[in-house]
Amino acid sequence: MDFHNPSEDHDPRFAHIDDLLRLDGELTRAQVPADLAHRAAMASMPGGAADSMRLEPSATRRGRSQAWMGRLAMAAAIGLACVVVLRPGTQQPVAPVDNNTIVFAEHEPIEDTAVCFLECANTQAEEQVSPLIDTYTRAGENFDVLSMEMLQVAAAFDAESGL
Amino acid sequence: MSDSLDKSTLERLLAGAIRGDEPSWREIVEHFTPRLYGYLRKQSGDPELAEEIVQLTFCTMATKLDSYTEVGRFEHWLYRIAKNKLRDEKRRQKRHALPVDAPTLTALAGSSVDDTDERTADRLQRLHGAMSKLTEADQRVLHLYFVADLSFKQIAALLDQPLGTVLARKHRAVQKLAELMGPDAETEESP
Repeated sequence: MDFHNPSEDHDPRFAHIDDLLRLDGELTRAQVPADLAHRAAMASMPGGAADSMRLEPSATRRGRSQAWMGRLAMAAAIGLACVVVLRPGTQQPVAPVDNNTIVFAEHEPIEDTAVCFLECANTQAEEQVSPLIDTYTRAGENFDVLSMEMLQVAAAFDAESGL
Repeated sequence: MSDSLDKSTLERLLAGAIRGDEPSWREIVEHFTPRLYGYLRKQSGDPELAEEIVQLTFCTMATKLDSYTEVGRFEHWLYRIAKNKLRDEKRRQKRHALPVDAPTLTALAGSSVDDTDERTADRLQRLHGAMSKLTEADQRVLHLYFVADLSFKQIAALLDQPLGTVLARKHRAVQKLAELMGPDAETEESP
């Protein structure tokens, strides 16, 4: 396989730049997280054995979600419950199972970029929470920022409701 | 430059992966992950996003392995999927690509390569500064060649451009980098 052929283009006047670019490339590749290949292989393994493991579109996204889940759980505990669904492929939101259910992912083949859907399961808080959800799902699923604002909303909701 | 996987080996591994042979697929993923990650990281400026796209790319490929028909053009297929996913993700998330910054360089010098001394780190930082002044198209060609480790022929196929255009672009980009970095880049090469 013709991965790299330095003889394809070589100008001795700029050899030092080529060398520097080559070093930069090596360093960048060396920065790959140690377990990324393993995670990618496990998440994508063709064949039946690995299909059951395709619950999450990405460990990275799952990691973010889990951090966010902790905060969301706090919000849920003080009266604000939401459902979070990582649903690859279909891009359809999933209805809340109940007021305190959080669904991480659906058992579906990964066909496209996973999308996080958030739904407020607390009808009383929906009016306050939905705009936030819409904003952040559109803006790129910034879970950390969203979670902080959700907590603030939850606290406000808590105060208003006298909970 | 890098450990290679010859064409026949890759085709053998692909045939195995299509049959559901996990070690074959794992070997393919392990081989291409650093290259793909490096390229996506450079293009996006976002390590997390790069990780995510790597995984999504292999997931997409896995679901389509049965219909893999581009024999001999695996890299083209791989990078085309990754490129499209990155484009879609950036559009959707409205992220802004950033050049690799100083902290990243510090981390580089401090961790992955011990013999990267301060002067080299400084030169790399200046290189990144100069790179950020190149056009996106120039940067893409350099990233595909030096980070993704593709040949010019593969890059030309991926970008749907004549080979001569890609070669000329690379040459001009390197020349531009040399101008932007000034004479120090050369004199510091041989301390």
